[in-house]
Amino acid sequence: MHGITAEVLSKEEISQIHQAALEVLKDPGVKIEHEEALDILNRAGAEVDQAKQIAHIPSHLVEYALNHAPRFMTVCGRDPKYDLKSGTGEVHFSSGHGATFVLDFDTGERRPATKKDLENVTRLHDALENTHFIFPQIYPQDVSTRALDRHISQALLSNTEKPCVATAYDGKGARDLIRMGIAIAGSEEALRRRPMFTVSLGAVSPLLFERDRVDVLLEICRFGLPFQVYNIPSAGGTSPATLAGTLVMAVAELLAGLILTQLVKPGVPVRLEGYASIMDQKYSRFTFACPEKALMAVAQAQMFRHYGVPHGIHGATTRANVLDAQAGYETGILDMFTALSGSELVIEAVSSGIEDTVLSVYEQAVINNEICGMVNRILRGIEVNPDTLALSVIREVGPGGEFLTHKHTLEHFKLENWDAKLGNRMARDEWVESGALDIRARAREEVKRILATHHPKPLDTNVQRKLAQIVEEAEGSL
Amino acid sequence: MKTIANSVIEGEKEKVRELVQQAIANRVSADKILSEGLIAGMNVVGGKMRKHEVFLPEVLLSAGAMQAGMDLLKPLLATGEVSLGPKVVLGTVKGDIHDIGKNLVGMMLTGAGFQVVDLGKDIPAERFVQATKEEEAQIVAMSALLTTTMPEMRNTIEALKVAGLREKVKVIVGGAPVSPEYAAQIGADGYGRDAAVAVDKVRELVGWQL
Repeated sequence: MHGITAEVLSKEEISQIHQAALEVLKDPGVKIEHEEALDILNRAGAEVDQAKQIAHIPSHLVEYALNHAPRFMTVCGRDPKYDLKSGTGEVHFSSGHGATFVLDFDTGERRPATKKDLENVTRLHDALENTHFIFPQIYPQDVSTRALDRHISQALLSNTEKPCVATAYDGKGARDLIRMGIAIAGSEEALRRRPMFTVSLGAVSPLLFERDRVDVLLEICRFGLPFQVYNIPSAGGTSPATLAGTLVMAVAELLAGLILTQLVKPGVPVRLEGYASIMDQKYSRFTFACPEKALMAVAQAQMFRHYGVPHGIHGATTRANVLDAQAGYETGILDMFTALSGSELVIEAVSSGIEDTVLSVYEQAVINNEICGMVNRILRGIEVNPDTLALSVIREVGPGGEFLTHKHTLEHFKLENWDAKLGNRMARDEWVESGALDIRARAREEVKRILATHHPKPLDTNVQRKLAQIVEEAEGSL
Repeated sequence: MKTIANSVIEGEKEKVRELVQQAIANRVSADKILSEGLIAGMNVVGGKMRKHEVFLPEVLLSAGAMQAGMDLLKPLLATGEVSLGPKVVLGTVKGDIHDIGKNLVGMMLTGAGFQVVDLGKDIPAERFVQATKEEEAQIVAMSALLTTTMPEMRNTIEALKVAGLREKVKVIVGGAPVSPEYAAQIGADGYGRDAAVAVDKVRELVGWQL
């Protein structure tokens, strides 16, 4: 089985982008709004301007980081069957993140998202078989901003047994998150051994690392939990309009983040995540739903494979404002292409987000789950061996016969054929008889069924109390 | 009888054979074995097929198991101990050699207790007429896969009329390009989109069910 991996860059081009990124790290370097982090870089050999908060990073630090960063990374499920392992060659799919609005499931009204919505959509992802990793799909608008990160982490960790990306906005938030993790795992050691979440640091393009987020990096990496570094350069806005230039900058930023993690704690597992996309110059807004992003997805995956670090690529998104055909074709094409990039993790693949991730629509997650099933089958490729070549079967059946009743069919069809769950495969008359439901209506039924019946194993009441206490403290103390 | 039915559902041919033999030896009536064992099992399979809860190769496995049981009951047919359902004359129409779907319908009808006279494929209208007469069939079931051979179904219905048989039989049609509208248009009595639904339709048309 050969499998399929798309490539858009030649070996020579990978090397050109890498060399250019090394140049960028040296000059102009990166801005890090964090004295301690700059000191760490300085001690390791970077030329640092503390007044301007700029670090000029030499190439040998890139080598150092790539030598120390592990190839493998595991984020654990509360249930081990959900452990998310990188470096296995398998492609995994994650939920989306960051929606601030939801389409109310009962009223159809577009309204600010609540913590309850986050709990519900997390529970939905817990049930969807193609969601392997759960980001905060929703940022609740009904809780105070000073404890927002704690609320998000609490809602995530309480409503799924799958591995998650928890949230911490500053150093204190990171320490609180670690406390939550210890409460769930039982001890510091148990948390380190089986971390059920990771945390992300977003570099701000171009070439900037914010103080509070660097604090999070220091806390999480020092404790020894897996970490993620991402960035969202938009070509023509926060990065060069040329895709190659955007790739250079994207890679430079991620390498800078990686270097910092490995200087803070050599060997801490880190995933690099690429979200590079474009600025739409006609509607003057950033968009994720464009063919340029698909190309850069493949290119970034090639770069990450070249570096040999765990990685993920942001995949399916749509700029559509309603669940229409545009929502379907944009997410479908981006999902497929990103999965073909050879990335280990397709981020946002099972997202409930439309409007470029701003609006969460429950049905969209269920539809994307179906798309991922189809994509996954394509990735599995074609198995060729004497049994599957079926020469003796072809001879047995002979010209004019049929294979339907042959034992070989019975033995193989289930493994070969993907079983569509949601997409229509009925002939028209049956479809009409069954109520003539379109994909959205069928997805709606599925959401209804899951939310009514699916309940992941709850955390211990003791643990629940501890998490609630951590959230309350944060509400009060800040 | 329940275990026979279950073995049919599971598609366990050998087990069905064994159990039917045992039942015959224990002097269970062939009628009972057929209706409460074999056909009861196939009814469950048909129901699942209709709801798309089983896959076709699994249905066929069950049909094969059912057939194995039927074969053992056949000697008892002659003695009149078994009361089978009405006769169905079945075939793929003239010019069309696609018979997988037609065969499926045949298996499922057999599985439901109907007596199926399968004429085969590429069957001209006159053969349908002749068989209907000779077999005293109550149902004529036709299949076509090609849009180009579909009109042959209409020709067959016309031929049945000319022969004075149209009022004596129910006509059911099916095949990929056929629709309920088309069936009505050519004067058929029913349409089955798949083998499970075809059985339902035939049962409904003749008002017979085991």
